[in-house]
Amino acid sequence: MESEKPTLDKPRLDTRALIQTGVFTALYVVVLAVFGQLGALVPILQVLGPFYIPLVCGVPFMLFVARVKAFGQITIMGVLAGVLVFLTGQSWVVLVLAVVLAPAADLIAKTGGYKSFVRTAAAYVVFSEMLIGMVVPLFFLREEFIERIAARHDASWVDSLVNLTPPWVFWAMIGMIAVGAVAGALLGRSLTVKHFRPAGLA
Amino acid sequence: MIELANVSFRYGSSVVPDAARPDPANPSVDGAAGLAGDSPGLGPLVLDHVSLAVGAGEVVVLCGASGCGKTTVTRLVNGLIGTGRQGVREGAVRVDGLDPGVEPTARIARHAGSVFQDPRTQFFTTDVASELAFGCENFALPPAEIRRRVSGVTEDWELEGILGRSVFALSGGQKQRVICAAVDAMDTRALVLDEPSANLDAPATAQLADLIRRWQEQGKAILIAEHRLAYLAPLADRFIRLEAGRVTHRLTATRLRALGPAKLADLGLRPVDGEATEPDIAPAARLAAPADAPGCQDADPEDAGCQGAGGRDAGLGGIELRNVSYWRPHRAGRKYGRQVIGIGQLDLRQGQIAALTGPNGAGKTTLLRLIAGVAPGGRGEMRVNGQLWRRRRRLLGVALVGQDVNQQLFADTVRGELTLANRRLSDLEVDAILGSFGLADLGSRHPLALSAGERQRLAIAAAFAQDRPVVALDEPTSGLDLGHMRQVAAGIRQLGAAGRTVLVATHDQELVAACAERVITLQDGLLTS
Amino acid sequence: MPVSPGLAYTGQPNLWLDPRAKLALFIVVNIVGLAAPFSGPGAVVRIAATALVAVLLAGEQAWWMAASAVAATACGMAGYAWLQPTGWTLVASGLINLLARFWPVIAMGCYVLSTTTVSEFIAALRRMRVPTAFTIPFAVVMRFLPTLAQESAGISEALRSRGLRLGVARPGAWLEYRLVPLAMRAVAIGDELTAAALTRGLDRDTERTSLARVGFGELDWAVVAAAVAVFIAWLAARLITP
Repeated sequence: MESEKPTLDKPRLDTRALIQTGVFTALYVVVLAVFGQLGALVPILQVLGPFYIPLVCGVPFMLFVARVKAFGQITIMGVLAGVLVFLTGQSWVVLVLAVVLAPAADLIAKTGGYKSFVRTAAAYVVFSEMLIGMVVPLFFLREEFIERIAARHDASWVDSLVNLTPPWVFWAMIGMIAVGAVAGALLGRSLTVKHFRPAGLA
Repeated sequence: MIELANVSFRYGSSVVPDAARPDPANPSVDGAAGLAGDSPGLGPLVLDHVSLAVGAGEVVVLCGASGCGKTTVTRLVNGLIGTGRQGVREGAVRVDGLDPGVEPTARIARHAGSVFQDPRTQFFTTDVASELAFGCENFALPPAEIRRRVSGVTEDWELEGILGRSVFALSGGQKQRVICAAVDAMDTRALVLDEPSANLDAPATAQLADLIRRWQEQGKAILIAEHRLAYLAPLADRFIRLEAGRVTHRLTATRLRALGPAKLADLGLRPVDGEATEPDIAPAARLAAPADAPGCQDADPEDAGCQGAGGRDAGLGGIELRNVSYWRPHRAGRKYGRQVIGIGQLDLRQGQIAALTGPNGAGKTTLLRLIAGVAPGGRGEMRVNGQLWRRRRRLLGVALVGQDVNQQLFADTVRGELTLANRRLSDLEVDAILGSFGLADLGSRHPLALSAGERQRLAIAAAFAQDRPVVALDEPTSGLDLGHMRQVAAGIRQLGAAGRTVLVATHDQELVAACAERVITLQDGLLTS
Repeated sequence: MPVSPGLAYTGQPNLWLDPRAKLALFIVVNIVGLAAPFSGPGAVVRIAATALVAVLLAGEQAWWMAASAVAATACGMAGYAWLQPTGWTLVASGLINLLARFWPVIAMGCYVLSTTTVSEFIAALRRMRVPTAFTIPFAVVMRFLPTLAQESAGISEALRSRGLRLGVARPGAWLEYRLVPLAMRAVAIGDELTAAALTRGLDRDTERTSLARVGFGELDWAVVAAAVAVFIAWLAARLITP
């Protein structure tokens, strides 16, 4: 009878990790879609969107990172989320940003071993900035955006929106996403402590 | 073909899977030779020198209370846990000569097929035909061979009619049959089944028994962890009972049966003989059972006077259903909606516990959802204490404990779950309820950190706390062992004793025997008794 | 074969197309449907895209979907021509505009989802050399979306029965009683799904075969050619419109 030493798994992007990544991607995309739709229904929420969307999505994200085993999982989640968001009619800029930002977020979280809250929160801020891709056209690709937004709203609404969007608003939105993501990371952590950890899930 | 020699096992501290979490009631015994020193980062000993062997054409059943280590054995065999992966193992495990602790799980899959408890979560694809091919595709078999096997199992398992269907449109029994067929198509020499009947009704369980027999005749080695023993008694070569990770009994079916119902119950095992006939509990005893509960000691519960004597509402009491019907809404691809429920008259006394039985798809769940007011679209009327209750009123007056309790627990502690159910409860009342449902020591735990049986009892306790005159429960004991089933039955009797009218849909005949005062049988949505 | 709006695969399609051909057409319909105008040369492109969708849907006997895609486009053009965006018609024209742009895209989405199995998607992606690190999670996402919908429905039913009302006014309650239980169910189901997949031999490092049919035939090339033609026409229409 030979005794096996307790060994920790080498962090590897194995089949288990891939299935888990798919599960959380589905959850993230559903939350994103539900809260993205809120903005379409209630106009005031459109302005607040860059804040509250990353805030709420922080819950699945933080739970995900608490269970992440290997480098690559955050990258895959980001890229797949980008693809799905693109396929539901958003600008291609989201997809491009996802391909760039998700690996960056993954690297940042990895430096903290996926354990450090500060690094994970920083990673989530970077990850969430892909959402700015939804409004980038409003500032830099105005022609494309006006066509898209006109799909949902009439011409005068578009005019007022264009007038309301001087370039500084873009930077303000990036800031809002960052603030929302930090709040989302905190929210995700507090719910992890309150629910997920006592339930043995994180 | 499956061999375990002197196997001991500890989980890594953070990875104890739900099914293998030891029941606080029977904590595992520490102190096995090799793993005695409590290594940091390791959980308690869940298996203690377990040895067993399953040869070709043999069926071996692992039984014992929840948390006894059954599931851990199956997971060591099919490679889901192993050495250095999620815990520490001692002793040898061999499947077809391979060590599942060392080989990749996907490699072991070629030798041992696995079927699990919940048919809803075992699908990887979304349509039946792809699901049947999934395993063979993973083995990288040539497409012609996969086609041959898929058409073979389609015929064997009579799946022609549902081959093109989405798995989300199948019933629980159909899903489990598709899973079995998909595992069959992989043509492994060993099979590992972990509580395969937990979500099946009587006909589907009988079908499962036939399927296991077919595998047995094909010479496969079959290891089954199971609470329900009756359907396995005619086929199993050996029953192995585990307690706190140790083997306590190794019995043939004949010798297990010879133990008799009382001894079996002592061992925490469910009956071996036909589940429907329970020699232990005669109908008279059934009626007497709830009388043991407080509030109704002196009177025969069948006597209407008891309701007054028990300090209950002296009104007309009970539920009256009149001409209740429900048609499934028209769906794409189907020409007509189907009538799911058609009940002319059904009366329940106040405080009566009625079991609602019948095969899967008979409309049990639909009827409960109608009564609880969560399902729209029913017709007919329901009166409670003589008052007409429309849907909105039912939503407030009927407590529903649905099929999946995991969807129904919302608070972060067990106590919180009760106060969430009823904000007016004082601390003392909360303590009293927790005590009477056997949850007294668990007040500060997270609801989802409880064992399956405790979670079920908490959901019933929350329904009790809600203080509603009617309680509807849907399959409250699926997948529970004898001890937990009895605790749930006791909880249900509490509800009745407190004057709640209880309707419990179940296919667990032992639960019916343990708590029901009356049995209502539903067949194709119609009352047959 | 009926085309159902959900994610359910409902049987063998009458007209089989390679998933890659369907995906190419979906992307073009998505771009054109959302962006192309309702008047001028761009409208011709929009009509062409709608016609392609309608023909495919009609091929599956999804008459209602096919007709509604055509009707939506017709309404959009009529609305653009006759409704002035002032007063109450502003709301009406906005709504018509919205519906007319999205409906053909949604119809195309239904077509793709209800004629393609997840296995076919995966096989097609593998042919396109997409690594298993992406195809496995993608398959799980497709498998999980309906599951999340079912779980979410179960949770909201339990909430209603428990009398826990979650209004817009109580976002905290929404998070705790809707999102947290959903996340917990997702994790638990995910673990069980993982066990089932691993014990049935899924392994990211082993090449697997697939029964799913993939491969371009003449019809697929025709569909791709049509999609490319529509896309080029859309670019051309943008260039010639001031």
